[in-house]
Amino acid sequence: MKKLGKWFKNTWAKFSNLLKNNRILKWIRKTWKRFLNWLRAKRDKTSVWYHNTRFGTWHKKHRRKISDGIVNGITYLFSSVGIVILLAILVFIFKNGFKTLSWDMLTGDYHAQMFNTSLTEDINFKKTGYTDPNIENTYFSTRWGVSFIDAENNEGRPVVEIAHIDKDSPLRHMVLYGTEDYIEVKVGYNVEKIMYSGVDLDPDDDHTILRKDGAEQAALQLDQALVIDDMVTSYSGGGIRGSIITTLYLIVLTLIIALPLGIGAAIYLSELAPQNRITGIIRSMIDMISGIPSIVFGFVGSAIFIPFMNGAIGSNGGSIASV
Amino acid sequence: MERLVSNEINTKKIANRSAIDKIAKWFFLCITLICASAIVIIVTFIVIRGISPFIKDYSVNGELYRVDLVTFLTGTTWFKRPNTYGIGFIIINTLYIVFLAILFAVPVAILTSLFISKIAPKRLGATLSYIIELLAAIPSIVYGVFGRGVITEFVKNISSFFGYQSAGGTSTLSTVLVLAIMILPTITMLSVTSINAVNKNIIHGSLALGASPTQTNFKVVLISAKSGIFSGIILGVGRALGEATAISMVIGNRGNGPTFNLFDTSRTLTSTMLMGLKETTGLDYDIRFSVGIVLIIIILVTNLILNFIKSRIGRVR
Repeated sequence: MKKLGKWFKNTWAKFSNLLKNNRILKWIRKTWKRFLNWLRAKRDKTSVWYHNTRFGTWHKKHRRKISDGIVNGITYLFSSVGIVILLAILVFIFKNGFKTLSWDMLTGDYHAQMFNTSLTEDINFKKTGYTDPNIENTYFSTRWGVSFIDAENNEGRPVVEIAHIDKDSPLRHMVLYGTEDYIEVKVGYNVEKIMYSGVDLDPDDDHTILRKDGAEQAALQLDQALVIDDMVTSYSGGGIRGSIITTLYLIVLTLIIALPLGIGAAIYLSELAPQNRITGIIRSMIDMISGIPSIVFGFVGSAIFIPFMNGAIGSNGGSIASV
Repeated sequence: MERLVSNEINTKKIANRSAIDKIAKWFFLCITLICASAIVIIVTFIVIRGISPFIKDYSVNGELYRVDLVTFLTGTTWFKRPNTYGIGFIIINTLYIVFLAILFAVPVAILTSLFISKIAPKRLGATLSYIIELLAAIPSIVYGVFGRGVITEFVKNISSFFGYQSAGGTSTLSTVLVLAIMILPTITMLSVTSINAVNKNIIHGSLALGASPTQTNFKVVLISAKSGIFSGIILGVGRALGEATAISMVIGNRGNGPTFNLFDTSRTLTSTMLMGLKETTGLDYDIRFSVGIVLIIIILVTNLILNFIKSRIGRVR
């Protein structure tokens, strides 16, 4: 360390000597000084004229005040930068975040529950003309007794939501694809995809309702369907309940591990340790940890802890213990 | 055995106590050693994984390759198939970006700290220092989102004003602005502490000699606090060099360089490590540990140099 400092000092001294004794540099410095002197003389001449004007006398009288005012003004301006930045960040985050912030988002799951369903075999088509409950902004399919509404999901994307289902509607007795479990399509579910078939349908059409079609199209197309071959509905999704819980869980676990270690080391270093060289080395080692960038911690963590946890508990990939 | 101490004193208890003391001392020593060994473990793992691309053969598409160290340290292209990696331009870009960020942040930080501790009325100063603390507490990912949403748009507009087509605003300038915002609170908080610690006698002496308060602030207070301000700058440089998430969101990760154009995309060491990660094995993963070694070395060297400069200019005469 000391050697390095000495080397720096020596090199700097040599370099500055070189600069001082260079003939060309000397000449440049001399000329520059001459130029400045010439400028000063000229300014003095003009300043006599300037200070005799009305503004000039005022300026001469308040010179200190004016320059102080300018400097203070710059200080005020620069220190308002912090406020502006904080305001900009808050406005940006709240403006974009409030649109999709809702209780559903805070408590919902991140992945939507998907139901891939089809019609039951023993369905009774007794009733075909259902009555429209006439809810505002909804579009009703009289053949199936279900009304759709345009809505937004937790991520702010447009979806087709089911607003009402008649109590006799066959959609209340759908069978889950690949099983024999019955499931009831409920109000509040989102339509992801409906594939249908019927008679006199346009052969060029794909006989599919997608979420991008919108509620009106969905109701119109569903009225043409005689049989629903495949109906995919989803519920909720885009929520952050899991993320919130995991974050808190992580904080608690981290504190449980880090607090005893940190406090113990602090007690030792400040109260018990003998003041010698080894203690100094340990201290500087602990100081160095705080200087390591987080990305390096990330890489070391992935190199040490993920294989370790994989071996220890047989997980594969990252796990919460390695975090 | 003859007792040498009075009967009032329970020697057994004292012996017990000192035994407990000893055990506690060893216990705390163990904890301290665990803490201190973390750095050893980190450095060891980084070095082991980081050196292996240069001394071990890796199989890429069925053939064995290793990386050339000289090309790695001086290269002007990050990745060329199958085994050419170069980070020379990335080092230059990183230092350039950090230098510009410091250039933006330092005047603002110093003037803000001067305002907080000397110029502003007490309540306004307290509010402003609270705001600065809030800025320091905002996590870096939020700065990244803010940069992506606001600063890149701003930079895009500027560059189109100059008639330059930028890559959607992801550029050196956006990175510099985000970094400057992020290191502003660090420098400001340390500067406030050091300005508050300036000896009152010096200030009173200056005022008594007839200097105006503004003159005193700029010519006496700042000069006597420069050592503390400089340690703030050192911390800021450390934070700027090590920042990864926020930078990666606005930098655009250019593949070759070096670029000094403010409106062009760029690449820093940290964004190189973070972005384009695919698998956690193989050459493309291990080379990032080598980048990590270079990053740590650069941080250490800059800290050494800055500390040296600080010890030179920090002397108050």
